Amino acid sequence: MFTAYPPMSHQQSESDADLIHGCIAGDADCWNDLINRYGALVYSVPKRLGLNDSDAEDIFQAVFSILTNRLHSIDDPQALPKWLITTARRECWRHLRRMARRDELESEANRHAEVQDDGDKALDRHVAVRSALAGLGPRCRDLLTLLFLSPGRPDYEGVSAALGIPVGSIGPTRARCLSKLLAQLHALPAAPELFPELASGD
Amino acid sequence: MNADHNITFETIVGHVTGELPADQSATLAQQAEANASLARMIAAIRSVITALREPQDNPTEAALARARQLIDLQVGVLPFGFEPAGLVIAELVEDTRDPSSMYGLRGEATAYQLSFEADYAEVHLHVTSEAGGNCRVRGQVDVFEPSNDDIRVALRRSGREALIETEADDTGQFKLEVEPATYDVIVSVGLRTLLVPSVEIG
Repeated sequence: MFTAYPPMSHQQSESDADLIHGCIAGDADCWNDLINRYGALVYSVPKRLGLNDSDAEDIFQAVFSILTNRLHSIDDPQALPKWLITTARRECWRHLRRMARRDELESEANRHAEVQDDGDKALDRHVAVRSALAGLGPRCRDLLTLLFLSPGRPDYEGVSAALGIPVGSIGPTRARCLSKLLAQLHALPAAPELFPELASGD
Repeated sequence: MNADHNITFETIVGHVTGELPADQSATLAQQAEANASLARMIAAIRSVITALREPQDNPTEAALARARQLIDLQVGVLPFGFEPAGLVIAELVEDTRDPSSMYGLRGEATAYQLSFEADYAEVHLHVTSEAGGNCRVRGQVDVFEPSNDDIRVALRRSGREALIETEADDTGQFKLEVEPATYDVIVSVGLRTLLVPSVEIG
């Protein structure tokens, strides 16, 4: 399926730091954009633990509630994806512990723990590349987001229209941006464990 | 990481994304078998693109709606007399109803307790159903540091502006009687305001 994309709005191309500042100032558009940007990431945590939508919605609200209280204290916006997923996991485990304590479902909680292990590694890798992505300039961030994070297979003409990049420049620009992303990723402390392929091997 | 001076990064990306013509892609794959550096680079790019494309669970509309309202609660719609500058959104720490419930009504118990916590105070609500259909809410606000500030408590029914208000006594205790519904619980301690959004009481 090919997907055409509308031109990116000002809000869509804002950095995480700009969005956080906007949220602190009470800009609802920035808040909505932050939710749109990271909502699926946060929601995936309870879902991968096998929680139903009702419980996942509770955890989703709890994570973003906590975020509203922490907006002022986020020193490194690049760490936001990791903070979100860590907070979502903590809320999930608190929730599962409550369930286990209440209904003596300790074994059920343990089963969830086993089930989520592989999924979590994939999410950890995703969080790492999102953090690296957040460290790129807007042009690269927007291009890689449209090409790899948007649903559906990207239509180069749509991407061209959305970002104002000639179709013929998308390939070379993508390569440059991926190279920068690899460099950003390589600098993350967790990179060797999550991406052993990045090791030089020299 | 060096691959081969004759092979561009863009070509490798095209190979990984499947956009390189089949014959060129096959040649590159062959070269990679004899060139460990090239093979590592292909693996690294593939791994990063896979991580970017990691499938995620889209949040439900209900989850999005609940998260989006948080910024409104945070910035603009506190009732007159409640101080927005010191506002924090409290986190649920205990709900003796349905173990899966965090926010929102799930249980049908005739008496239950909800506890919420912020960085400077805890709020405990003991809710009992009355014969006439209303709910009696007996509450306790525990401020962590000694304070002589007056404590005001208000319940605001969702979608309405009118408040059901009271003041806590010297020990932080208060009582209210309300119709079963969803409420924002707003607690004012001096210049600080603690908010618990969307608590279903009934």
